[in-house]
Amino acid sequence: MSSLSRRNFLKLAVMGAVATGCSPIIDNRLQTTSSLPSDFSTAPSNIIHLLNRATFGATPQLVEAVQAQGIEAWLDTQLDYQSIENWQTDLRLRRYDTLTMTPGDLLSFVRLPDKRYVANELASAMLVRAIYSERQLYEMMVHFWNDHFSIYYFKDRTANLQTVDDREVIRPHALGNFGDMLRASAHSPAMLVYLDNVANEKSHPNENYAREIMELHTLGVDGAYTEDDVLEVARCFTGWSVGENGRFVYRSEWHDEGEKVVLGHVIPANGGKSDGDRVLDILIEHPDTARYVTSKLLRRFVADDPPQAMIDDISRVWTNSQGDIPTIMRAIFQHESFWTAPPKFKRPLEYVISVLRSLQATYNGSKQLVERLQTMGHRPFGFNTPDGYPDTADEWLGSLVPRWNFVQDVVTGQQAGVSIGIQHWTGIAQAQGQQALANAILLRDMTPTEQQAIASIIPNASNLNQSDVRANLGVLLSSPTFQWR
Amino acid sequence: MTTTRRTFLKSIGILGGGLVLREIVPSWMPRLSFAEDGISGDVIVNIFLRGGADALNMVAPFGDEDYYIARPTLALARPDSRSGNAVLPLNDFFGLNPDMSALHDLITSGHMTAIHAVGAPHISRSHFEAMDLIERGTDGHDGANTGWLGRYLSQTISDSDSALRAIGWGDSLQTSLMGYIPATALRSITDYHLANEDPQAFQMAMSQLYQSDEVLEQSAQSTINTLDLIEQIHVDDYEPANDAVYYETDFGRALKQTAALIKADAGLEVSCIDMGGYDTHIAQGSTINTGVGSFPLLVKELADNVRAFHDDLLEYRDRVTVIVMSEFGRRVQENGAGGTDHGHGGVMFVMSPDLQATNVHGDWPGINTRFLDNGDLAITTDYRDVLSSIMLQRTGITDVSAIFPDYQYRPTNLY
Repeated sequence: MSSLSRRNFLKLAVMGAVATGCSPIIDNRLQTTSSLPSDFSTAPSNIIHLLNRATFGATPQLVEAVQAQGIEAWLDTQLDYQSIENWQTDLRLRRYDTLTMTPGDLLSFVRLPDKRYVANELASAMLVRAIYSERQLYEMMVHFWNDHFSIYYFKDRTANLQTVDDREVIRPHALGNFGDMLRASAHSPAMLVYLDNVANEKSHPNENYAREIMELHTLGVDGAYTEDDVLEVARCFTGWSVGENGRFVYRSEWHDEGEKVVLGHVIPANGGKSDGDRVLDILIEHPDTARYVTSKLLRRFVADDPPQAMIDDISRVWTNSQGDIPTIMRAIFQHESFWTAPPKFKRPLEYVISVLRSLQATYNGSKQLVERLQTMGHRPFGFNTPDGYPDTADEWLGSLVPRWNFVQDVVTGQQAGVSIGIQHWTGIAQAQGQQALANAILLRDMTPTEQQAIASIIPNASNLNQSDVRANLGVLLSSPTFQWR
Repeated sequence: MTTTRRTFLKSIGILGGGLVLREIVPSWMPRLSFAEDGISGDVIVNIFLRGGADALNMVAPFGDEDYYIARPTLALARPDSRSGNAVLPLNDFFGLNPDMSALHDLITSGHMTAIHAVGAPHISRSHFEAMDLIERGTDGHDGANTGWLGRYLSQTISDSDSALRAIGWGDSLQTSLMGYIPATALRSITDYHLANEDPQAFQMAMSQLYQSDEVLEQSAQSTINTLDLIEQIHVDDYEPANDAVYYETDFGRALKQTAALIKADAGLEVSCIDMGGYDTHIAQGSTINTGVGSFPLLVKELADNVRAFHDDLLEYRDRVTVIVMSEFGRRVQENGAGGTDHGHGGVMFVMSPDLQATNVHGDWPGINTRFLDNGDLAITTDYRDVLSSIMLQRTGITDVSAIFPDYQYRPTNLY
C-alpha cells in the first residue's frame, strides 16, 4: 500500500476539523490552530495528534522536526526504523550487560541474592529506549507487543529469560510480520515457562499455553474455538519445552503422537514437533486472528472503543498483507477515524515517560524509576496475568495522587535517577514568561482556567525564581490535559 | 447495639445540641458521618498471608500420630508436653502455635474460629496462579477478571459517597479489590498526602483545573475528597483503646489505621491487608522458644496485632469481621532444609460476631500418606464456602452467585 497522498490528507483535515467540535479536549489541543491548516501534513494540531499516538510523548522539538519533514515522510521513516540512526540510545544501553547474554548465562543469575537483577536491567532498558530512542514508533510497537504477549517477569525463570523473549521474539518482529512473531513466541523459553508448556507432557497435557495462545494471542476470547480445541492444541504442543540451558527443546518422548483435530483441521498421527508448527499456521491464517489483534492495535493506537468500521477496514488490510505490521500501521494512521479519534488516557508508564520527555529530563538508567513505576501499578513486564496491562481509561482512573506526587518529585529533584535542567527552565520562564513554559509542556497556550490556577500558586509572575518555575512545571504536568495523549 | 461515633454523640446529647464537638470528640476523630443509621453490613478486614502459610504449624493436629512422623524437627509438641514448644489446646486434637497465644482465648471463647483443611479446588501450587484465582474467587482463567471483594462492593454500592469505602494496604491494589474503581491503594494513611510544600493550594488548583475535564472530574474529586478525609483523621494522634498495642510494622500500622477509620465512621467497608514472608522453604523454625526461624516470628506478629485490633475495637466488634487466609498450605512432610515446600490444604481464621462456638471447623482428612493429595493436606472445605457464609450472614448479601460465578454455594456451620 502506498503512502497517503497529499490530496487525501487535505480531505481528512476537513473531516477532522468538523469532528473535533464534539470533544472539548481536542478543542483545547487545537487552540494553537486558529484556522484550517493550509497543509494537513504540516499542521501542528495534526502533528501533535499523531505524535501523541505514535511516540512516547510529543515535544516542541519533535513537532518542529515533523513539520519540516511532513507527516508522510516522517511516518515512512519511522516505519523503516532501521534506517534511523540511534547510536545515542545504544550507548546508554551499554551499561546493561545482561541484554546481550545467552540464556544459560542469564540463568546463572538465579544464584544472586538480588532476584530482580536481570529483570531490573531489562525494565530500565525499556525505559531508556522509550525516553531517548529516535525510533519512537518502533519502541511503541515493542511496548504494544510486550503487552500482547505479556509475560509476568517474576514467575520461576521468567525473571531471567524474559530478556531473551524481548530480544529474540518481540524486538525483531515488532515492525515485521505477525506470524513470524507468533512462531518465535511459541518457541520462547520465557513464554513456555510462564504458561507452563515446559511441563506439557502426553500423560498430563497442560492446557495453559494452548488456551492462552488462542484466547489472548490470536483468536480472542470470542474466537471460534472450543474446549476440545484447547485440549487438542495442548496435545499438539506436548514436548515443546525448555532445556537446562534455558533454550527451547523438543522432547519427542513427551509428545503425543496420536491424531488431533484442531479447529476442524485434521493433524495426522506421528507428526512429531510439526504438530505444533501446524497449529501456528492454522492460527496465523485464521480470520479471527486478524480481527482480534487488529482490534487490540486500534485500542492502543486509536481509541478505547475503536469504531467497528475501522476494525473491519484494518482487518482487511491485515488479511491482504498477511499480517505485515508496517502495512497495517500505515493503514491505521491513514484512516480517517484515526484523525478524529478522541484522546487516550495515558497509563502510568506512558505518563511518566511523557513527563520526562517534555521536561527533557535526564534518566541515569537506574532501577529506582522502575520501582517508582511499580508503586504506580505499572512496572514494565510487571502484570501478573497473561492478558497484559489493561488499555482502557476506566482501568486506570483513580491513580492521580501517585501521578501528582511523581511530578512533584521530578520537578523538585526528589526522584532518584532523574534530574532536570532547572536553570534552563528558569531561563526560559524569566526571558519569555509563563506562557513559554506552557508552550513547551502542553504544546499550546494556557487557557484562562490554567492561568488562574497557576496564578493561585505563584502570585508573583513578574520575578520568577527557581522554586516558582518548579511549581509552575508541576501544575502544567499535573493538569488534566497532560493526562491524555 | 453497636456504638458508632454517631450513636455515641447522640447518647451524650451532642447531636442537635449545637455544641462544639471538638471538646468532646478525641482530637484525631474527624467530624464525619458516612455511616448513616441504615448501614447494613460488617466492615470486612481481609488479611492475606502471602507465600503459602504453614497451616500445620499454626493449628497443629497434635492428636494425629502422622503429624509427628512427617515433621520430626518442626512439629509442635503435645499440650501436655513440658517442652517449650507445646501447643495451646483448642480441643483434644488441635492446638494453637504457642507464639499465637494472643488469639487463644478469643478462639476458645467463640469470638474467633479456625477452619482447617480449607483451600481452593484447583491444584495450582504456583503462588502466582493460586493467589490470582483465589483473589478473583474463581476456578480457572475463564472466570471473572475482577476480584471477589471488588464484585461485592460493586453489588452493594449504596448511598455511601465515602472516598474510603475500600482500601488495599500496599503499593498496588490487591487483585481481590479489582473492578471496583474507587478502591484506594494505600501504604499508610499518613503516606496518602500530596508531596507539595503547600498541598492545600495545589489541591485547590487541581480541583479548579479538573472541573473542565468531563472524564477526570469525578476521579479528581474523589481523590481530593480522600485527601481531605485523610487530612482530617490525624492518625498520628490516634490512641488505641483498651491498652491495645500494635507493632510498628506495615502490618501493624495497616490494622491500626483500619481501626482508626472504623471508629471515625469514615465509611470504610472493606480493608485488605497483606502480610508477606510465609514462603518458608528453608529454616522455618518451630517456636520462638526453641530456636531460630522466621515462621514463629511471623505468626506472633499476626496474632499479637489481630489481638490488638480486637481489643482496640472491643466496643465495635459486633460490626467487624476479620478473615485471615493464604493461597495454600504447605507440604505435610518437612523438607531437608528445615522448611516446608508448597502444599495444598491450609487454614483460615475468622473473627466475627455470632459465630458458632466451635474452636476448629472443617473435616479433618488425615495426614497419613494414604490420605494425602499429592503429598499435601487434602481439602475438605472450599475457601468460598467460608467467604460465602460470611457474606450471607454478615453483609446483607442474599446471593453469592455474582461474587463467586463458577461456584455452587455449600453452607457451613460457621454461624
